[in-house]
Amino acid sequence: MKLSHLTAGFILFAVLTGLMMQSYRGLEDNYDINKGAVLTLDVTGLNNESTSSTGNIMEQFERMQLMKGIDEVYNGFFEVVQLSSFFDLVGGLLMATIGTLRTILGVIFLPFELVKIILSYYVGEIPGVLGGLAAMIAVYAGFIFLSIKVGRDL
Amino acid sequence: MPGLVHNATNVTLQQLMSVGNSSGNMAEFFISVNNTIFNGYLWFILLWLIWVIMVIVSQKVKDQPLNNAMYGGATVTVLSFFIRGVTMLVNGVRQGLLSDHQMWIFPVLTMLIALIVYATKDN
Repeated sequence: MKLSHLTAGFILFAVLTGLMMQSYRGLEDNYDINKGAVLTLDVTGLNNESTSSTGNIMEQFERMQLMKGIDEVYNGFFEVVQLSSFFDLVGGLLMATIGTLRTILGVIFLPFELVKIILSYYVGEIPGVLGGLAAMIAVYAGFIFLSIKVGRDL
Repeated sequence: MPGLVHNATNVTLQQLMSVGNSSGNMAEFFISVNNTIFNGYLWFILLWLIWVIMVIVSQKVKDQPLNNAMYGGATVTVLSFFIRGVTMLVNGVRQGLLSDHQMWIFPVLTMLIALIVYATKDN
């Protein structure tokens, strides 16, 4: 496994999510259909204020930390490329840095978020959270055991 | 009577009449068959079958299970988006060939397979 391939996989995932969402929105506009099934996820904010986000499964994927991180890195670099003042440079670099941190956080929590959204959409909220935790434990325990078996870091 | 099929839907004459009474419109006929006889699962199962057939056929050309599953999934995803668009209004309720829950399974699985394929490449 190479880091560049892992990154390519994540970027592909982000691009495909965006593409699927665009296709679905086109479907809604051109075929006059309405969202048949939506998912509402409760997100607890910084000050313990509970906010909920409603959307179908791809819209929930778009709100994952990983997606937001990749988006922020992209926007940050875009701002640096289109410089008009010194503050743009600082702002762009800061944004890219925050985006990178968010992407790393997103990668760590990817198994949890992914399984939580999929199970919440198809089964229910509580199986979603429990399944997410189980997936997280399974993935990291799997990595540890695999590196013990292979005899080197993965 | 115990048998292989449990809880089978009994199709009544009235239901068959409503299926047949489709005013010559092919889409209306397909939607009626899907919802009246198959409880809305016919096209969902057909898409799964297409995916499996595509993987089996492409496996014979080149032995790469995950890649073939990804390519088959991509094709079925495009098909599912088209099929989701075919709907009609029945007594104020919109019925279609595929529901949202059924449609999203194909892109989600394809994306997960693509993520695994690209993230675990060796060279």
